[in-house]
Amino acid sequence: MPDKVLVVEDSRAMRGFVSSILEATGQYEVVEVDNGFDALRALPRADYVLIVTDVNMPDVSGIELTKFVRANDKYKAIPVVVISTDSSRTDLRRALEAGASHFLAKPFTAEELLEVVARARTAAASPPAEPEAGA
Amino acid sequence: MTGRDRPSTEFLSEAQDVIEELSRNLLELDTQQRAGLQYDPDLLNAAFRAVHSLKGLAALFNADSVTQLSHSLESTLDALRLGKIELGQAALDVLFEAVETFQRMLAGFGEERSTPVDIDPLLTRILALSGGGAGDEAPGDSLSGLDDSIISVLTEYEEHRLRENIRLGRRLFRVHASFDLLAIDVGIEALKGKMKAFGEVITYLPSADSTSDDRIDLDILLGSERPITAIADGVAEDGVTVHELVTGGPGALSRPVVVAPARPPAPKPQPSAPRIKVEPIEEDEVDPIVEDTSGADRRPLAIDHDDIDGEAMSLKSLSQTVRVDLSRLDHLMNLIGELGVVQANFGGSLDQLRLRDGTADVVRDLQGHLRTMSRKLSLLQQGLLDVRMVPLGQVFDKLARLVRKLGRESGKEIRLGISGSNTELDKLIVEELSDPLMHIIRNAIDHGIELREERIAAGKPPTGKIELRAFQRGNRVVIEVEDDGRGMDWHKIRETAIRRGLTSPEDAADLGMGEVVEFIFVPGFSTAEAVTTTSGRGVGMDVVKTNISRLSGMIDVDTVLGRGSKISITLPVTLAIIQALVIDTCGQTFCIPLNSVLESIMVRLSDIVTVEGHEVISLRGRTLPLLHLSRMFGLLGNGAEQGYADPDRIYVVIVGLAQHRVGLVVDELVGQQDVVIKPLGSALRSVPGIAGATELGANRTVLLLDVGTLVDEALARVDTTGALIVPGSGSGSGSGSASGPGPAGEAHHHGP
Repeated sequence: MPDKVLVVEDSRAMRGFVSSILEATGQYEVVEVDNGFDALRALPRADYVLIVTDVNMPDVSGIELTKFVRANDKYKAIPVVVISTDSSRTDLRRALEAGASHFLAKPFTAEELLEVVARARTAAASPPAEPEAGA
Repeated sequence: MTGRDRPSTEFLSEAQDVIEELSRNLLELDTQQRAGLQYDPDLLNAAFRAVHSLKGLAALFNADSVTQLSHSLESTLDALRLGKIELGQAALDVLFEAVETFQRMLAGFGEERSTPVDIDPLLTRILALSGGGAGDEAPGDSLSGLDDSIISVLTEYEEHRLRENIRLGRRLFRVHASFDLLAIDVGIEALKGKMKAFGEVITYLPSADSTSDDRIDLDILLGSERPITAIADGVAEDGVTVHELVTGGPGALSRPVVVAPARPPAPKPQPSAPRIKVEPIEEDEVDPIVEDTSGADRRPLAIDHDDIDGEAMSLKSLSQTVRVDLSRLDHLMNLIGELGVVQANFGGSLDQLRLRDGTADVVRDLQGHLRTMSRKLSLLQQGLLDVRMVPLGQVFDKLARLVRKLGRESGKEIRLGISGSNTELDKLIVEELSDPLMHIIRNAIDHGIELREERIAAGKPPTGKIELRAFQRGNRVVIEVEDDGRGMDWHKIRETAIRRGLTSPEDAADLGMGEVVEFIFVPGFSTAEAVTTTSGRGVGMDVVKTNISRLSGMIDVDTVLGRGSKISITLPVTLAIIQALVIDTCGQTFCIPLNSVLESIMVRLSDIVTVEGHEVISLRGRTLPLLHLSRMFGLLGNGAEQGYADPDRIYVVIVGLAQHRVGLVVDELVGQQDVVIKPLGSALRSVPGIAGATELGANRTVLLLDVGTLVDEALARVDTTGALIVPGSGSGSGSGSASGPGPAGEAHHHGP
């Protein structure tokens, strides 16, 4: 069974891009949603090894989603990679402060995405506190 | 469309969507601006997001010029939404121009050899707009009353909106709601609608408080001018308390207020009902009184998770639409058409079987099955047609941009009213409609709507009005463009028509307004001196007519001098499947689109009059030129003259498109049938008078006549000789026995 990744991104093309890269590895099965509310809905419905989220989304942003995940006992071990344009530095900083583990600035290549994903998963697999993620 | 590779098609269709979304947001902002209203920041944010998505999309597909333009535009929109640049008409001009430029770029992608769009001038204008930036946000003092933990999770934009609400003197409220996780979208929508009526929803903060799997708590920040009691009443659901945040200085207070008594817990919980309580931001504040009750009934409201979250519910099913290439639908449509042929063949075989002895039972069974099949087939056909339907909204948005642009260019104030944007038509028809409608609108603005002073002098409101309406009438769609401008002076049109030899003074005297106005559709007519800016329409109504005719549509004009004009276009809902009249001539079978057939009549040879070498008949007082399909398509070979098989029984099919009608002489009327239109191969594409091909039973390919071209052809011949006007056409020799009902003769204003 491939590991499940939750991809949250409101641009369809970008979402498709991220998903196809992840699924092409054969290691991941991607669940795609296009807004923060759907991300909240999707969370309890599977065990995710990773969340990749856009930062700047209406309503529930990537920052708010990250904060929610980190504050939640059930999800707090899941690494969160945030993607954002280079121009929104403030947003990116806040996402990291809210507990995102890694970030990627758009535009990025497939290699860059896979590298960040790999780093995020390695970090999550050997945390000081909860060795739970990385099924 | 065929030459494009997949990613490019994908790029184009998504980019198109995004640009349309951008355009819609800008149009709404423009409307609010002009009305002098405070614009809705959500619209500006949505415009920013659209461009942001476009940029990502373009970068992904290496569409460099689009990337470059959207990058520049994104920065400007970001500055606009963050309040660093003021949104005014100048900024909107640039944004609208960007929309047009994007459209031109996208159109260029489809073409093999297209001149690249020069975006430099636009980039300069965008840059100039950003140049006068007002600088950064005021320091954070105004937020000092708020909890840091809130501000730290706001995006820059959300923070700006928060400040903006404070600057506008609005109160801030924190609404706490608990939702069933599975129905959160429904619950949020309902609550959002209520809250938006009071002010601006700044953000939603998912709260970590509720750790249960099936519920989620949200803190919602709301900015509003209304008092706390009004809001609490307005968003009341189950048990509501509203909490107001007091900001604007150190030591700001948080005032908890309790409203709306909690109702007893519902016996059967509704999955979508949000539960709302309002909490103070500061942790150590006094709890609102309702806290307890709402906490107590939290559990009963939770629905049984397993009921909904069955295995059937896929995680991926959150998106509800698919995108399909039109050519795939065409393919399916063809298959359905072929199935229809198979079905007809079955019917034929069944008739054969019926003639044999001892088959009655089997025949009855088969007939039942056949009936069922044909019902399902027509449902299938209808279902597929529905898939091809798109709302007219996209075209209307384009027209709204045009009205804005032309209005600004011409210095006329114009208000555009739009209704029926949701009316649906076949995708292909919608695409083809945009040019004719743009033409009509352009004419209405150039020649219909008067200048402000002129309007005031005429006792009209200074702002001109154009109404764009669409609605369904039966199985047709009507689109109307109505202006309250000058209207057309039909006396002048009549004079011009006489001067140009289109009609005689005697005949013209009998023509009513409806008939006279139709002269504007004669090629070249409207460029003539009589119909200049002083009297009405501008150039190109003949082109409009041709385009509408090609869609099997009709166009009508209604005008009152000094009061305005209304142009109505009536269209079939789809062109993919049409009802056709099947006819035979010289052993060849043709189909004629039934919606352009007015009636079929039988005439005698003695009814046919030859005027200057052209055959005409007179039908109920109106002269009708005849066209022999056999001669038109050279079916007789070596110049043989056609004799009539039976001089007492000559079939004439009267066809009319838009304003004109012609009689087609045929040998045999075969019957009516639904046919699926297939595109022609290159050999036949250039044959005038042929619109397409279709298949009838027994694998017979049959050509579909292009009535518009045939009518033009017949009229062109007659026009040059002046034979359209036959002496004594009023009393006529017509003794044609009409074999079908339907309008004929009289001026035709609305379709059959």
